Amino acid sequence: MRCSVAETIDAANALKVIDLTRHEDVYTALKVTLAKSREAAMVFDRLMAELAGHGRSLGESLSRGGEGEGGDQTDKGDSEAEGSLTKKGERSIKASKRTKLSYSPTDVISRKRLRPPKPSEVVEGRRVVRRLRRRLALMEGRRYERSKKGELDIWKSVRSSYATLGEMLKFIKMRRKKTRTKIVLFVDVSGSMDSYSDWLLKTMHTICRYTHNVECFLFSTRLFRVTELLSKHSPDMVVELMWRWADMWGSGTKIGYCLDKFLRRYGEMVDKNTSVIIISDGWDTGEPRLLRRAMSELKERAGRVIWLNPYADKPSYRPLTIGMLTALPYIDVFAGTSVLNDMSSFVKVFGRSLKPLRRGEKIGIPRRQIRHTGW
Amino acid sequence: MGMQALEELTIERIIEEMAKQLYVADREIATALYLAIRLEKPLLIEGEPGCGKTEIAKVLSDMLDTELIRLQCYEGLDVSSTIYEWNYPKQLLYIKMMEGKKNPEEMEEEIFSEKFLLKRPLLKALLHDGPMPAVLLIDEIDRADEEFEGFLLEFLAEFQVTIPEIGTIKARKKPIVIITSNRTREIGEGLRRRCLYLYLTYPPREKELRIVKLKVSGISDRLAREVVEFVQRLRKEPDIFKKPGISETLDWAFALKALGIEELTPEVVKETLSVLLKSSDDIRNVNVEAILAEVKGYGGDGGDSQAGG
Ligand SMILES: Nc1ncnc2c1ncn2[C@@H]1O[C@H](COP(=O)(O)OP(=O)(O)OP(=O)(O)O)[C@@H](O)[C@H]1O
Ligand SMILES: [Mg+2]
Repeated sequence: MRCSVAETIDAANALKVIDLTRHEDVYTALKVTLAKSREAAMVFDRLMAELAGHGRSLGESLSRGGEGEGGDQTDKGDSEAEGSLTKKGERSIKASKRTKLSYSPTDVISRKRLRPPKPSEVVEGRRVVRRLRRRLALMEGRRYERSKKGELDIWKSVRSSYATLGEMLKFIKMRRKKTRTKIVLFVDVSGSMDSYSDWLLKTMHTICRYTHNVECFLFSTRLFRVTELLSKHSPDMVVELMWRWADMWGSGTKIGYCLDKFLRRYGEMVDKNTSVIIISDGWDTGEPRLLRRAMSELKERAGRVIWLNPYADKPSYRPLTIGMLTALPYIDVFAGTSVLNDMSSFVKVFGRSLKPLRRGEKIGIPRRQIRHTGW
Repeated sequence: MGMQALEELTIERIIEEMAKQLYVADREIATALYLAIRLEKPLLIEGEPGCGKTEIAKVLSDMLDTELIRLQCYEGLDVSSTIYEWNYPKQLLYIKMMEGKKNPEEMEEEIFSEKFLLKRPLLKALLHDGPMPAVLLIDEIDRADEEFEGFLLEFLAEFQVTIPEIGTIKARKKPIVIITSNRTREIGEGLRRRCLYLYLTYPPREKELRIVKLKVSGISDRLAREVVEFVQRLRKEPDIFKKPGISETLDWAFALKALGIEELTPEVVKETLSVLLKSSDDIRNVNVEAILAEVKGYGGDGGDSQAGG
């Protein structure tokens, strides 16, 4: 949540025209002036619950600004406000107990600083994305470009031969330029993915930050669009924020429900020029029926559906979870998450069998991938 | 009726007056409206379909006893449908009539005057003059293309438009602007920043019950309660694609009442379910008996005390 100066002024003006002793009006006044999307509104609610959990009324926190410490309350207040908190949530709240309080949402978020990414990580991330995009190019476009492997362009060759007095020394080949693909990325942040998530979120951040045409979503029991967030904030802040959201949703994963939600709300984002990448272990606690329906619709609409499962890196992996088994028929490429990590296996998976499609060609499941993952 | 002056406005008063117009506004909605009016900022309302976004603007204009100017958005919206268009047939007619009687310069000046202008919503909103500002409803902005959004942003900053033949027209009285979106497309940052923001979702049980009782006059207590309880539970079903909004609840309640039905039975629900659910898939996926059993089980005294208001 980033608030512009103008919005902050709006908030101040709003506070001038309402009754400051009414907690709920102060709350709404700040909310309607500062939180400008559904996602932002949810973050706002969450932050306010946290402030309240620190044992101060909102009015107090506002008037006393950043001074003093809010550590007099216990964890009880927090967990009561939130229902269930995972370990991580508790940890971050404890860590923040003795920090300053102010009403600025960004301050609350940035209390706990994480390690900034190393420059080498950023470079690596960019390289991954560039490769990814090249490998995922789905359709050949209408424009041509020069290429060693293309078809011979007689006219261009003849024209270039003028320079050598009509002797045709160079053959110029052209091929269709590939269109840039869109990527829609879904990352599972539920409890079972815990150990992978930090790394994944960083990768996501890099992907969004340095490239266009990427849409990012987080999901567990709910779906959250984070594209904008990722492109605007530093990775540590994003990771922190995402953890808060993940905490907020409780445990379990409803992949089907989330994909369904995506299709209904953001369905226009996918077309035949889109690669959908789902990063999840496939532990679905929702209805298989819903998952099947969502996957089949996704497959129908998208150019390619790729599922990366962190466990699939192990040679002994077998897809046995109901979620994974339900989704498999609709997946074009199934592989482990390590393909995002290390270049050689990445190229192995995406390099060979992902030939760009010609227009209108149908995509089947590349058998080779399936063997690669060992089952 | 209505309000005499905007200065009288308070949050409580808005809740009260909207209730008189048959709109159940909770305090959050009323506060958002109050701030939009007091701070003279547009209010962007997003939310689930059929949950009362458009209605807010209508009710607001009734309550202030002022003009409602509505711009329904669609793809390819342009100047001639949003701001103005010259009334060419009328101009032609006039030219024919005046031929020989007036000199061309005089004529030109006349036919490019306000008299021959077809005013579209945005221009109307600028020209509105009354004791109260007009309510300008820009409905379903997500259907318009981004280009229009950019134009709108400018319009909202300046509240003026320029017509080459006439000059610049500035708002006589800034309208109260309500913008709605169903989120089929994400609205740009710029517009969001300029507006106040409200997200409307499905109402909680008590609120929906109040809406049904208010709007469907003469509905029996029991039927109203069962209808609302059924819809509330239906919305929680994971298999439902298009969840029913308040408007569907109301349609259903009306239909049931018109049929003279006193209480829900599986047969009644099955026969009328198409009012509530628009897709045949959804209708097929509902386990009417199971939901109804829960509804009947719940329908005890717990809810009664809260539902009074
Ligand atoms: N709070 C409320 N009190 C009374 N009636 C309501 C309320 N909310 C919604 N309604 C009724 O629900 C119906 C649908 O409302 P409205 O058309 O404003 O929905 P909407 O959100 O604009 O829907 P759409 O997305 O389809 O345009 C209207 O008939 C309205 O009277
Ligand atoms: Mg509407």
